[in-house]
Amino acid sequence: MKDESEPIGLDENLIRLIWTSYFKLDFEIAVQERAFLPRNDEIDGISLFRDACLKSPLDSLEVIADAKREKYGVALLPVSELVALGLRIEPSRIDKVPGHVLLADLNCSAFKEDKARWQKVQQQLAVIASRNVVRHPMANS
Amino acid sequence: MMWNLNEHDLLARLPRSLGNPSATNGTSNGTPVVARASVVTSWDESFQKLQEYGGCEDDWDGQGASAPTHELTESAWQLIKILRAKGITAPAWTVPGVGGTVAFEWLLEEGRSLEIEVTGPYSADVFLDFPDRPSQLLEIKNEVEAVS
Repeated sequence: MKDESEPIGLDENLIRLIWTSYFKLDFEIAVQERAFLPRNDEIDGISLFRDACLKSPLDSLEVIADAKREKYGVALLPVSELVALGLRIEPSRIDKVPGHVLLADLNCSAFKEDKARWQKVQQQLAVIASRNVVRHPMANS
Repeated sequence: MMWNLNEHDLLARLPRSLGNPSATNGTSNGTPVVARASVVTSWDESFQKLQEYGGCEDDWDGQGASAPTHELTESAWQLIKILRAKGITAPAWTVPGVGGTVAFEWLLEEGRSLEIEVTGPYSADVFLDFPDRPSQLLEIKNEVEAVS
């Protein structure tokens, strides 16, 4: 395992936690672009985790309260593909889970300024994530 | 306030219910639009989900998502009542947004899709998505009813 202070390598995978409503389970592209929508307080970018800093991608679910954990799916996104999309990845240490990072360009301000552009980027992220789902949500909503 | 659905010719862009003999398909630039039947759900399901989201509280996803306000949910309810009454096909998905919004999405032919995201009371963003060109974003702003 890597320490989170180590630089992020192009050969790493990032982990995105995806709420159950944003899965289209009957589809080849099972993850909706809405899974990459910034929250109103995500001014510095949306949250992901470095797989290399965890024993298992599922360890990232520790950041979610127990009662809601089963409503999350987990997908991997190769760093190389995110960089190819022109997205910057910034380390952003948190206490609960090591390896927390932000997709800095995809933040709430940038999204509000150019929703049409970012929706296309989110679609591409959804395609990447759909190829690499490591856990589907256990409960529907 | 009320919905101003004449703006951007929205109703003509949405798919009509094929089960309604009095309804005809909508058109987009002269091209008929038809929902992909495999993903059409029922309006009842859409209303049910909206009711569920209306009962959400902030942090409904455990990561700080905002809950939709009562006013937003009520206006979304009015919107889908109008769409159903106009013979529009039920959306394929009715989903909450982490910013306190509610979205309805239709899948159209040739890989196109249309999404109405209710962003505030009687206000919405409409995304027209095409597989081979940039998305188009249209804004619907609320219309104040005239006082007689």
